[in-house]
Amino acid sequence: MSSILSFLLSSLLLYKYWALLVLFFISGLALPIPTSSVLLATGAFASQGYFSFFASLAVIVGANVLGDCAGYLISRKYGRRAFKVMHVGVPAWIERLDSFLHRHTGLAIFLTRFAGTTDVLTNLLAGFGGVSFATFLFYDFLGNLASDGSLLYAGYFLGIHWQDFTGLFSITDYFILGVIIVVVLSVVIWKRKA
Amino acid sequence: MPSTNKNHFLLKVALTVTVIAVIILSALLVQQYVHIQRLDYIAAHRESLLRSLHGSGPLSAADASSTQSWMTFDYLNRAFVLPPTYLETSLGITDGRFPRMTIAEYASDVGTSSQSALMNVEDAIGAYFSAKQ
Repeated sequence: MSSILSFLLSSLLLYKYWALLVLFFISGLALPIPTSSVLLATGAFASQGYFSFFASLAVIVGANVLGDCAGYLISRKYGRRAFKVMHVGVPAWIERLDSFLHRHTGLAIFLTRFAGTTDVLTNLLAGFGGVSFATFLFYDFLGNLASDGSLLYAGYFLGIHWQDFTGLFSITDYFILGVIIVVVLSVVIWKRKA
Repeated sequence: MPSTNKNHFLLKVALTVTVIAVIILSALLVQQYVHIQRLDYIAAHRESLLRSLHGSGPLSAADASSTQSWMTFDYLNRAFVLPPTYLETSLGITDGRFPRMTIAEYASDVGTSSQSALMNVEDAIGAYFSAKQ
């Protein structure tokens, strides 16, 4: 187990819901944190009665949504302004991804909640492209509830054996990330040809 | 125009690399699945997995080997339902942070390795359950 994960899990046991709040807010905002292992561990701790399952789920989803919304709002307010200040035009690939996001808003926001770093990029892109806040919030909440809830329940189900499955879940994370990148690149290439 | 073609070529290279990565990851997923199957994990833990649908509840002496150095004494007390001062007295811990300290911190306090501290904790938990029987 990595020393970063050991540190995160110790913090989780020491500061409980406060640690969950800070960790998942930061992960929603920008930092890549091994959240799938933290979710599995929290679920396992809940199965032993050290955490409440529903309170954990509420804090995790709430913190994730807050972090995502912060990224979205920062990008919405300062995204285009930043390009203007730097006196550079918006790159064509951002415009293409933006138009792709506008055509598949709900699906893109929902699915990227399941793959680590892509959710942060989607938040920034949604804010930059002016996706309505209500739409963003709705799909963000649903996506976080489904992705965090399923991993939390997996940890709850596996109990003390959760540590034997971290490899499987990490690989699944990267697999989903890879599939999303393949889809996005295919869309960009196909659009260019057209 | 040449730069557009170059970008297009780079995108195609990125797509190919990602597709290869996805194929490798699929192979790793299958490998993990086979690994779990080979351990006969599901069959061996079927009872405890089914029980955990409703929460696994307190841990038993058999779970002592799952103890890790990042775990806190507060968590161990609660998870194994140990008397609050049992580990403190049996391990001779004098640190005022107990039980809100990790096994790794206890190891550095007594100047021993995490592995050795972990074994002391596992032995103490095992002794508690043996004495209880």
